[in-house]
Amino acid sequence: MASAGSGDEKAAAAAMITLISSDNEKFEVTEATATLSQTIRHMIEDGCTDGGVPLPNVTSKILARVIEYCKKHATAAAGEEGSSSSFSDAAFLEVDRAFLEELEEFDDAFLEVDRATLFDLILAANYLDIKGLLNLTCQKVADSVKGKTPEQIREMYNIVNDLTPEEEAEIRRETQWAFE
Amino acid sequence: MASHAPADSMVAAASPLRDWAAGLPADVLLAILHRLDHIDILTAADNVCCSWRRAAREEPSLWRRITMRGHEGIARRLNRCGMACEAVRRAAGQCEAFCGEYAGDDGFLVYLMEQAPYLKSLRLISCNGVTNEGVAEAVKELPLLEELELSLCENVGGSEVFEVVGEVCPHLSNFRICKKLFDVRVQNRDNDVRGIATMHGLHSLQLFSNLLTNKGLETILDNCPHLESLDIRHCFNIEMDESLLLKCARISILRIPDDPLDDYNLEVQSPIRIIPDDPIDVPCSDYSDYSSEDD
Repeated sequence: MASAGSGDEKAAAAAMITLISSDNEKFEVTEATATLSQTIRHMIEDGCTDGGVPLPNVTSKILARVIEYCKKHATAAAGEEGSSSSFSDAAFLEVDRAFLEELEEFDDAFLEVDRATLFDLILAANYLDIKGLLNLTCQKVADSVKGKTPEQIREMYNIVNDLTPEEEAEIRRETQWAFE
Repeated sequence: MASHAPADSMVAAASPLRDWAAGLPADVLLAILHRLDHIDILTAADNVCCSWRRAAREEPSLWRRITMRGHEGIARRLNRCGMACEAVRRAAGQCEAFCGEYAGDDGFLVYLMEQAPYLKSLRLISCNGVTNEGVAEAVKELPLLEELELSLCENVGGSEVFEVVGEVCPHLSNFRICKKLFDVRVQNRDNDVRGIATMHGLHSLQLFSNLLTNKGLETILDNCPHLESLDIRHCFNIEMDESLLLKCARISILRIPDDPLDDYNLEVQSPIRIIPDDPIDVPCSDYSDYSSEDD
């Protein structure tokens, strides 16, 4: 791995990016961590990261959690690349599996948050375009909704029923066919 | 240059309450709904509020791949065939995959073939309202089918209907029929073989608890040259002898009759593998219809 390109890659991996939250807190992260966000990746490609990347939609509390996620998953991505290119023997598959399990545990623990935080994480993942985090958080919401009635969902997520009388009537007609 | 300048108006309000309706971008809401079984969308998500309702109704892509799984209890409570039709209607002609458990009958198949001309995958599980005639009619209008499953559908089976499938679905590469119970006493063992042998493009075949014999399986192997995945678990009329193993050598994923069921998630009854010669030894409830016919 001592080709001409690897020096640049190393330099890029070590390069630090400053992320600035909506409440003006600065976070230094490696480029490998930051580029899990497609939004930030594009900014880096466009050369607009000097002096830091302002993220006006993300509070410091949420940004800290997002960075925690990206750090863990950036390490995972790096590990995957390394092992698949140079090793494929059983010992390394074993290591991979252990690492994936650890990653799953991390994700589960990461999702142990209140609903407001979950909501903010979803919006941040959407805004920053972090696919893995968006999948993870949306799945968490979907799992909580499974098998629930509309009333239970409204209660769980504090949603106001703003359906019009016409829509309510439509639903009643439909539920007649749905619930024989 | 200033394209990424912070805008104060975009700073999230400090309100502790989050708006899970209009406060979620439409594509995020859609991403959440995409992760639900379509039964949950039709019975619940659809009726939560305007935002959720709009997301559930106005985006045909949400209904492109329909999954309606569930148990018998739900089946009794809901008009699942009506719901299956509603799901297909919302796909607005774009439905590519339908998987229904206790969720389809012949009437639904008529609707499906009219509304889903691009269907590539049809999986029917425990749909006892589906018959051979219904399947034969439907597949004629679904020429793009690549995957077909007819598992635990008690009224579907036999070479006649499978021959129609083989004839009208030239792209079919994945075929599955799983049955609950293997019963060695049943005659007509290679009943499905002639039909399956007409599906020349098969890459993957799952026959669970099927009665076919070595001879039948060899016929299928001879006629399906592209087969690379074969699952014949619980097909206890098959004996994996040397000549059959040789014929299966080209199959890369092979599951043989006695292989474990850890990755099999449909209902299975304990197989009847030997004809008991003394009916007195037989637990009566299971064998009440036992007749001493010989093989």
